[in-house]
Amino acid sequence: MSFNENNLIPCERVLPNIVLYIDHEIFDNQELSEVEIHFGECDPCRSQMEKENATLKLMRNLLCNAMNESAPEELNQRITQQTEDLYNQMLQEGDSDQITEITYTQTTYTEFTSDGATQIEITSEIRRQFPLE
Amino acid sequence: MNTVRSRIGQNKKYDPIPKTLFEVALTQMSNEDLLPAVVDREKETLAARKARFEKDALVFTSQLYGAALRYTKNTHDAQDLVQDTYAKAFTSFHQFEPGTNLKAWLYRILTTTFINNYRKDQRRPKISAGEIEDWQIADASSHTSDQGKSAEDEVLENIADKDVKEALAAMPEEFRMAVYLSDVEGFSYKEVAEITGVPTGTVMSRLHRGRKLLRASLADYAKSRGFGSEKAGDKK
Repeated sequence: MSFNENNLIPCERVLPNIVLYIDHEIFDNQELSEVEIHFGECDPCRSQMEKENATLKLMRNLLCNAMNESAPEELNQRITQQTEDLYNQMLQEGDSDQITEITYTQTTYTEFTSDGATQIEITSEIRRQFPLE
Repeated sequence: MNTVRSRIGQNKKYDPIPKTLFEVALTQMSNEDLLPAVVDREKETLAARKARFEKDALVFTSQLYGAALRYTKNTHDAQDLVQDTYAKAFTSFHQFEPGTNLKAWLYRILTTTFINNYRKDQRRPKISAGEIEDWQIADASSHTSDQGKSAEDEVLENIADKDVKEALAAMPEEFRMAVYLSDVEGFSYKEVAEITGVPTGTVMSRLHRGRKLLRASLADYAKSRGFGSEKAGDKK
């Protein structure tokens, strides 16, 4: 099928670019048009592209269905609190460029004494560092 | 927009692959949606910056958590990694240029934070000499003969979510993240390159190899679960 009539580009130029076409990664309009015209004329190339596209779509669906985790509510709360803490720290220090660590207390453990009357709460001071490169 | 597929010439053309939901959404947006909000970062108060951060950046926690799980492979480190990412992002939010890709910016911070503070093996994955170019030559020089849905594809449809997760987690980091960022998060090659700090050619290579590796691994899972064993037997 490597004919070259009607300005049709040869299969050898289309085949390596099938994956780019499927991924919407051909940005040159001229090139994109040539590839699409080729698919319109050449059945083997088109069916190969359709097959590869179907496989990729299936893989993507499998991946997306398997991996749609939500951030735990606890994490969202930690981030909201951290933003608040950092904001207050930045307000005090005035220069936001300098902050590379944050200290905060976090309740890590709650326990009731054996008689159930007293609650023990273990809080710890946590210092997180996040050096900027 | 240079990705718009224009119709030129008289030749009959293959109908382009349907647009992604993102592309459809883009066409339905008004100019106002598409234009970046004008933010004068010089004059912006800290309170205003915090409000902007909470509005624009905090919506990505679930997506970043997903990526963090792929990087760290455990929920504890993944949560810490996302939290650290947001700390770094907030304190350097004045450096982020409004109107540019905030999601990719956050993923970039997540990646560098992972590499600097979480990755057990501090050595960067090596890029082999042939990695850049060989993706193009691999199985792309001739037509494959069989038509329609392949038997292998049908087998993969039955695979369990747990197996998909395991198969991806078992892949080397560079392949795992290229596939995840591209095929789950929908980032372009260029964006994946920016996030992971490697050239676009390397991203293409990793993505191509990663997809092949994952597909082969999933086929193995399917076989070990008893799907498709008959089909494999029929061939012989």
